Order: sequence, then C-alpha cells, then structure tokens
Amino acid sequence: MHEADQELIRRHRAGDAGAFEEIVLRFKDRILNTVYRMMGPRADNEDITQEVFIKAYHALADFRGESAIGTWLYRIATNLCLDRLRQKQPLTSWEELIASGGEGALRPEDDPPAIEEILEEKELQEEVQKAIMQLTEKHRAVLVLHDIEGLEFEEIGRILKVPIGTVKSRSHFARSELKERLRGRI
Amino acid sequence: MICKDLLKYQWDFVEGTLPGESLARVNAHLDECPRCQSEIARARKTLSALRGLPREETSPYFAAKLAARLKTEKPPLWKVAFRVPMIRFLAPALGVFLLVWFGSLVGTQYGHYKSHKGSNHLAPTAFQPMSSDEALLSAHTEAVRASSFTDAALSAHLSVRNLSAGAGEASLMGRLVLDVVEDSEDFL
Ligand SMILES: [Zn+2]
Repeated sequence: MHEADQELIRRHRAGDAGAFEEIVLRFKDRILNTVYRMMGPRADNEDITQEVFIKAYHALADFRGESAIGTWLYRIATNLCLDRLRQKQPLTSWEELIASGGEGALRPEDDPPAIEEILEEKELQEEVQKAIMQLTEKHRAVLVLHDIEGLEFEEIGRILKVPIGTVKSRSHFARSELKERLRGRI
Repeated sequence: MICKDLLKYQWDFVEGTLPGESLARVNAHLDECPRCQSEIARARKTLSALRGLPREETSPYFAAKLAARLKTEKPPLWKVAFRVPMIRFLAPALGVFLLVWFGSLVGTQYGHYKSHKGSNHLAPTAFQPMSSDEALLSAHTEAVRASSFTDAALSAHLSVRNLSAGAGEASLMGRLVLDVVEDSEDFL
C-alpha cells in the first residue's frame, strides 16, 4: 500500500473526517466511469457509485491495507456491477435515461443540431459502448479496467481475484471481440 | 507466419510489447500482407476509440447525497457490535454462557415434563421458556432492537472506534455528514 494511502487510513482511524472526504473526492469520478462502462447508460449509475462508497465507508475500519485504496474501491465497484448484471435488472426506461442525461442515442429528436464531426464521434462512442455491453461480464470487466481505466493486468488480477494469465487472455479475447463487433464502423 | 498467427500477436504489436524475434516475424509478414495491415490498423483504431471515450463525472450533489445516505444507512448491527473490543473479547464467554443457559433450560423443562407426566396430561406451556426467562429474553431483544435503530448506535460505534485509535471526540466523516448537507459548496 502506498504511503499516502496508509496515511489516509491512519487519519480515518484517528477520527479525521477529512480522510474519507479525500478518498471520495479522489475516486468518485473514476468509480462512476467504471460503473457507467460496465452497466451502460442507466439512470441509477450514480446511485450504484454511492453504494460503492457506502460499502467502503462501513468497511474502511477493517481495511487491512493489503492493496491500495484505489484497487480496493475498484474491487467493490466491479463486484457490485457484476452482482447487478447477474440480477438481470430490466433496462432503464427511455424517459429515465433522457431525464438523467443518458447516451445521445436516446436524445429527444428536437436536440439542437450539432457539428457533423462531433455527431459522428458521438455516434461512434455510442457504438463502442453498445459493443462493450455485448461482451460477457468477465471480459467486459477486464476491458473496462484495463483499456478504459488504465489499470495494469496485475492490479486487475487482484481486483477480480484471478491469475494474471487469465486477465491477459480475457483482455486479448475482449479486444478482439470488440474489434470484430466494430467491423465496418472503424 | 500466416495471417492467423498475426491475429494472435496483434495487441502486443500495437502496444509495442512484442519481443524482438516475434516482432521481426510480424513485420516481415506485414510487409507482404495488405489484409493484415488493415487488421493492425483496425486494432489501433479500436484501442484509440476505447481510450477516447468521454469520461463520466459525478453530479455536483454527489458528496451531499452520499453524506445524507451515510447518515441514514447504518452498518449492520453485527458489524457495529464486533467493533466494540469488549464484545469481541467477551464473545467466546458469551457463547459458553448461552450454551450452558440453554442446556439448563432444556433440563428444567424436561423436569416439568417429567412431573406432569404422572398427571396424565402435558402442560400446554411445556418446552416454552418459564416466565422469568421469558422476561429476560424479551428485555434482551428489546435492548438489541433499540440499539440497532438509533443514532446512538452509530455514534457509539464511531466513538468507540475513535477511542480505540486514541482519538478524542471528533467523529468520522463529521464534516461531510454535518456540514455538507447544509452547504455542499464548502465541501466541493
Ligand atoms: Zn496476413
């Protein structure tokens, strides 16, 4: 564990309210982004992100520091997403997505016209996200953590509790699958 | 090298992590295979599309909402209880006590059952706790129930944790919980 992480844990245990704030501020966007890429555009992605921090808050006193705080939060987030995905919750309604500012595919038709290039880029981004959603959960998790969040294979192995060789082969498969799904588009 | 082999190496190749010998073979193949050249180009574009995805950001109210939820959503009772060093220390002894208590209860009831057997009918209250035990049990239940749904439980848990860490009265997440709800700007 990094020295900075150890210091945060020490301050938290000593009752310093600012320690957990720092953790929240440092990781909230990264965790939300991970949740978004794992779950797709949904109205409750921010709620799921909150759950990650609530779980972390209640568990922080028992956190043994075997991994970095970031790794630990990514693990909580990934497990929560995988649990939700296994529950196969119904997709969020269009109205909810629009209300939450979801993906552009669900924009109302009277949106102000955008520059063609921006629109094209946005469309590609939506197609990439759709292709990500078609990956199996375990392949998706590796792809999101490695290619989007930029984590090393070793760290992902610790997060998913699988050997590094498994992470590498999942990454290879996920990328190849995504590339095929985007054939004709890129 | 055939095209199928190249696909095996494509990701290491585009990331520049392919070791020397394999790299030379891939390069040699690419020099004479336009099809694989386009595969490599698509692999590069796939990665850059992934890395170019916009990053999601939390709403400005994220921390305030989190603080409010942390205030209302309490940790599970067993978690609170087992953070109290005394309870952790006493748990084995408590277990032994309950075992003995349960054993004596069964013994007593068996005595009741035996004594009623002679009168040719089974008392309807047989195998139910006796009134004093019942009172004790319900008092315990009430105490546990009361402690799990009050702010006192959380603050006790926090102050115990703080005390055990050698800190004073300051509470964990205090500022986030107490201040941010009213004034999220301060926190953000
Ligand atoms: Zn070829």
